[in-house]
Amino acid sequence: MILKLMRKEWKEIIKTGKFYALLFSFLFFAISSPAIAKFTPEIIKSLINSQQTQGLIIQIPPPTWKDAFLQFLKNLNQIIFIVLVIVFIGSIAEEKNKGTAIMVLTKGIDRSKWILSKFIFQLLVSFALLSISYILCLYYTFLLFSNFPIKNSLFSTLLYVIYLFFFLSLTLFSSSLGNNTIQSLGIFFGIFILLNIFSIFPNLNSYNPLYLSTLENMWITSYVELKEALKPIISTILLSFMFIFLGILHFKNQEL
Amino acid sequence: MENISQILPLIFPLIILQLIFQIFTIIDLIRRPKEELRWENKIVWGIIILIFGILGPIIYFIFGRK
Amino acid sequence: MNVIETYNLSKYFKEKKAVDNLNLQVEEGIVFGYLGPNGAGKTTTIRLLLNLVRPTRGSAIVLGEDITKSKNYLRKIGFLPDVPNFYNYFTPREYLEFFADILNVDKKRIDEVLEIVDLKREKRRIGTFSRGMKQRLGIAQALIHNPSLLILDEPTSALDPQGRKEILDLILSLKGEKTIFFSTHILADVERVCDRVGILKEGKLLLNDTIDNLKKKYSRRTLYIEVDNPQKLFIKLKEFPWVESLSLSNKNGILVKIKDMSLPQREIPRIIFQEDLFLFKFEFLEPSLEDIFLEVVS
Ligand SMILES: Nc1ncnc2c1ncn2[C@@H]1O[C@H](COP(=O)(O)OP(=O)(O)O)[C@@H](O)[C@H]1O
Ligand SMILES: [Mg+2]
Repeated sequence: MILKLMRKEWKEIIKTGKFYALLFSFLFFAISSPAIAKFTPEIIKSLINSQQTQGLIIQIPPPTWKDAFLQFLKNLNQIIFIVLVIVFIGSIAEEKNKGTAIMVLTKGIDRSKWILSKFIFQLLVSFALLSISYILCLYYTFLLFSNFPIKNSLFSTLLYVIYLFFFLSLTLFSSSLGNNTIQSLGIFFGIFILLNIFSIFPNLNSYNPLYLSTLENMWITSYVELKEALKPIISTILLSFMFIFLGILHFKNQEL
Repeated sequence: MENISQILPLIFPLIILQLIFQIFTIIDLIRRPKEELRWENKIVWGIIILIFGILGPIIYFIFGRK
Repeated sequence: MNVIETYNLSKYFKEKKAVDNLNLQVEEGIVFGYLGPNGAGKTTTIRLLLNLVRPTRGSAIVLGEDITKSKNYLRKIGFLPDVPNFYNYFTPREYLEFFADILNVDKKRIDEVLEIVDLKREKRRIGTFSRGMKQRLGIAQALIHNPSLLILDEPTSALDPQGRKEILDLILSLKGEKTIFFSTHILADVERVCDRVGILKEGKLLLNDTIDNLKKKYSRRTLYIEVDNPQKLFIKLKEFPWVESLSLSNKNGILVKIKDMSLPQREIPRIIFQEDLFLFKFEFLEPSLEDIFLEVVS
C-alpha cells in the first residue's frame, strides 16, 4: 500500500515539475561548489592586479579541496535546504486545504500509511539526489584539486543525511499541523528559529540538531571525535522520531 | 586579466549546465498552456527563467504552476 | 436491512449544534434524499458517517459496522464531496488509475466508469475542467471500486440545468443497483429521483418518510372549489375555525386550506347549498413536495 501511494507522489513531483527544481539544485551546486572554491581567489587576484594598487600585498592562500566541500555544505544547508522544505512542506497541508486528501482517506486508506508514504518518499528522493550530488561534487573536486582524502567528506555528508532526516521529520510535523503551505512554513521556521535560539546555550548545544552542521564543517576542516558526534546524532534521531510520531498522531485525530 | 583564460575552463561546465537547465525549462514553458501558469503570463516567466541564472528554472518549477 | 442507522448522533462545534440527536435509518437499495436548507447540518452528517469528524455524542452503524470502532466499511462506500477537488495534474484516466491501483480494482473498471460519466475520450488534465465535468469525474471516482453505498453531497447544487439533469439521470440509472444517499437543498431533485426523504433543519431530523406516504399524509389538506360567486363563499368560509387560510384564484376558483378533513367535507357543501350557489368544481389538491417542505420546515 505504501509503495502504491509513493508511486503517486512520484508522478506528482514529475508532473508538477517540482522534481526538476530539486534535480537542478542538487546537480548545479554539486559542480558550482568546487568551481567557485577554485576560481574565487583567482578572480580576487585578477581584480587586484588590474587595479594596479599601490603596492598593497595581499596574501591569498591557494584554495584546496576543503574549500570545495565547505562550499558544498554551505549550499546544502542553505539553498538546497530551502528548496527541499518548500517543495515538500505542502504535501499534507495542501491536500487538506484543497480537499484532495479526503477523496483518498474516505476510501478507507489508513491515515498513518498515507502520511508515512509521503515521508518515506521524500526521504528516498532527497537521499538519492544527495548521493548523486555528492559523487558529482567529489568527482569535480578531484578534477580541480587532484588527490585528497575522501573519508572526511563522506562522514560530513553522512552527518548531513542525519540532518536531512531531521528536517524532513520536522516538515512532516509542520505539514500535519498546518492547514496550508504558509501555515506549515510558519510552524517549520518557528521551530527552526527556536532551535537557533537554543544553540546559544553551550551545555544544550551538543544536543541540538543544528550542531550537526557545525560538525559537518569540522569533519572537513579537521577531524571529529566519535564521542563528540554521538550526542547530537542520537538526540537528533530521537527528536526526528518524536516529530514523526507527533505529526502522525495529530493527523490521525484531526477532523477533515 | 590574463587570469580570465585560466578561469574559463573552470566555469565552462557550469555555464553549460545552467544553459541546459534553462533551455529545458523554456521548452516546458513554451509547451505548457498559458492557463496552467501562475499569473497566466508566459513572458514574465520567460524573463524570470533567463535572468536569474540557475535560480530562474528552480523558481519556475516550484512556483510557476497553478 | 438498513445500510445506515444512527443513534442520537450529534456533532457540536463549540456552541453550534450542527447535528443534534440524529436518529436516521436508510434501507438497502433505496435512493434517499437528505433534504435541508443551507447550514442545516447535511455536510456535517455526511462527514460523521465517513469518519472525517468524530461525533460529540451518539453512534452510527454503517454497512453493519460501528463507525467509531472500524474503518473497513469505508471500502464499500463511494463518496462525492460538495466541492470535489482532484489532483489537477492528472488526466481523468490517470486519476482513476491511481485509485484502481491502491484499491486493487481491475483496470477494466476504469473504462467502465469513464463510460458511465462520459469522460472516456477526455485527454486533458483535470485542472482545465469545468465544474460539470469535475462533478462527473467525482461520480466516476465514487464508483471506481464498485461500492454498495453511494454518498453524494449536494451533487447538483453548483450545476446549470443541463448539468443537473445529467447527474440526476445518472443517479436514476444507478437506482436499484446501489443504495444512494444524497443531500440537497433542491426539492425538485428529491421529487424526481428519491424513494425516501429525510428533512433536516438546524441539525434536527424533522421527518423521514417515503415520498408516497408524505403526499398522502399532507394531501387532502387543500381544497379547490369553483362556484359562480366565489366572493360570497369567501366571506362565509372566513368564519369557520377549521379554515386555515383562504385565497381567491382564477375567475371562479377559491383555494381553501383546512386544518382537518372531516368537518369541511360535510360543511362546505351545506354552505354552498344554503347560499344557493352553483357548484362547478370541488377537488382535493395533490400537494407538491415544496408545500410539504415549507410546512415541515416552518
Ligand atoms: N468546522 C466547523 N466549525 C464550526 N462550525 C461548523 C463547522 N462545520 C460546520 N459548521 C456549522 O454547522 C452548521 C451545519 O453546517 P453544514 O453541515 O455544512 O450544513 P449544510 O451542509 O446542511 O449546509 C452550519 O451552521 C455551519 O456553520
Ligand atoms: Mg453542505
